[in-house]
Amino acid sequence: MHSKIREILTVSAGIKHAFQDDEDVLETGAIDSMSAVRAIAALEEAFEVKIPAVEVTYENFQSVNAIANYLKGLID
Amino acid sequence: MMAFLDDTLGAHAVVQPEKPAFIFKDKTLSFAELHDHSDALAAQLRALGLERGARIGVFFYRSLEVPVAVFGSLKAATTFVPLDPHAPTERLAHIVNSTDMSAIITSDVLATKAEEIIQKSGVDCLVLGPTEAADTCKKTISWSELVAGSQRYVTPDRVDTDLAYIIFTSGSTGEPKGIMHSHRTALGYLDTLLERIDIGRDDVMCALSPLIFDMSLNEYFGGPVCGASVVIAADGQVKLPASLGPLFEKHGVSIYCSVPSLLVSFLERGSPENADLSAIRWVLTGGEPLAAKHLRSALDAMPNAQYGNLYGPTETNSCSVEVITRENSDNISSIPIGRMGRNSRALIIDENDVSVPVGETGELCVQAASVMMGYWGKTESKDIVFLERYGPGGVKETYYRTGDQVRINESGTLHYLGRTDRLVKIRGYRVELDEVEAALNAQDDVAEAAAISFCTADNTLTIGAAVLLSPGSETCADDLHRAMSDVLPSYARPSLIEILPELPRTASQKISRRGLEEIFQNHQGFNNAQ
Repeated sequence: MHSKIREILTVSAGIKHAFQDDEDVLETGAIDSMSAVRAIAALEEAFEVKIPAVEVTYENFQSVNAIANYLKGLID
Repeated sequence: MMAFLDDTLGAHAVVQPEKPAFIFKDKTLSFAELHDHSDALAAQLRALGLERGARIGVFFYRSLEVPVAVFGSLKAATTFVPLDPHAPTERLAHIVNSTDMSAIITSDVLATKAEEIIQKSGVDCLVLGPTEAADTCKKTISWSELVAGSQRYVTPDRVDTDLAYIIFTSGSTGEPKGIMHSHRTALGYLDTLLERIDIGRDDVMCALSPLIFDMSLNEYFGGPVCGASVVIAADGQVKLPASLGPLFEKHGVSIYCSVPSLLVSFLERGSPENADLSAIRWVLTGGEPLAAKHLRSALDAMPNAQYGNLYGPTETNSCSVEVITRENSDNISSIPIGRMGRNSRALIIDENDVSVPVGETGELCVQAASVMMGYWGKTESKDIVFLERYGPGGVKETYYRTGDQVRINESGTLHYLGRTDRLVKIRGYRVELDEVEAALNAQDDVAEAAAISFCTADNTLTIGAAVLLSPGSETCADDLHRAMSDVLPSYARPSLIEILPELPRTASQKISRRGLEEIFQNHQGFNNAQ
């Protein structure tokens, strides 16, 4: 799951950037608000889930680890 | 009357020592800590030999170190320069070089980048803050040592016209311009703000803008001056606006302040109805015009709030404020930029620098205590941006030319009509790009719109617009073209409307015109306007 998330973030960001699992992806600037929208759509498709708008928060999407935890909760 | 931005901090630290001055994530910095740590930092800066007026870079991601660095620099009688951690090293090196910066205060995560910047700049500049120097040949003083001192600190001799800070904005030419403000001009701006917007010790402000954007000074100066607490929002909370409602609710934020685009993102995509926003007393926006329909939805989402429109380029600070209450919001079609603050004056001139009669359109020139001291290192541009007039009694008065087209009514309320430089000629007709934007923004299906001009392959200037749809809207570009033909003359209609899932943004969350140009540039058959 982690490697798929990293791959989606890299494609969405459109820049070469090695995402660390606990890195704050929204702070370092690798993900801006435009690429965040792309990433959310790609995550929904890849993991066949619907992410409610109200749950698109910093808490759930700040790092590869946070995204994995959030998606696990959504899938279960 | 205060003379310096740090004058009241000591008193707040005595009266309410434990109260949080700043809150970031789960950490707080009390008024006593802000006062003591900034005293210690100022003493260190003095001990390092940094002289009055020396330029100090403040280079951090959002964190509790930022206000300490700001007030440490002020108390040391130095001038702070916010450095954007997201900016390219070349741009930052240019700023370090052109200001002949003496020190950069930073953190471990940015230490390497700070060294790179300094190396590129060719300036002999200290790096302060990291635990270890990235370049092992150099010495550094760690953050904990910088703020550890407990000796009573006495500020050195200084005057209120000393530069407090320099903010670099990306000039239209691409070369950053350093806008210089003194303690006096910054306090002049707080005076204008506080004349209309009451901010007190019971308030909780939220710093949504980064320090590199002058709107953040509402919080970074306003909080410590007024004794209010400031919650610093994380970058991720600003980028994902559904995070904001819970943040405001958790801390009981009472003063909301951002650019309109962020407010609109929050209202349209941030599910504000899921959070208790009853503590919010003021919704403030500035930097861009807010559409009237968004004002109404803001006041619906924040039922106890009044709205304040803060107007003023970075060069003048906010110099004009319009307050709109809930009761008054219904009949408004466009939001005025308000009345000038006390002790300030507006002059509206035509193309020949002649004053226009009340009610007619012209360029706004501002005389106010909050107007900048000038641009860093650019004495020659002074004449272009300032206009001199002889006032009553033959006294010479200096006005700053804003480049904004306005109209003033009999009661002294200013209405913003667009940028002088956003006025384009399409097939010989004058078109305000801001008017095109406003026409799109007025559509129910449109959450946000931006219009730019560009050259087509056959070299004719035309208008392109990018649109972010309201949630749930399924309208298409053709529908919007039809809607525009009902409200705009043919020459003013966008020839291309692009519906996007999100608009490109600048670091301050404003719409990025350069980003839009790139989007239109990617269209086959079109060339970018130069």
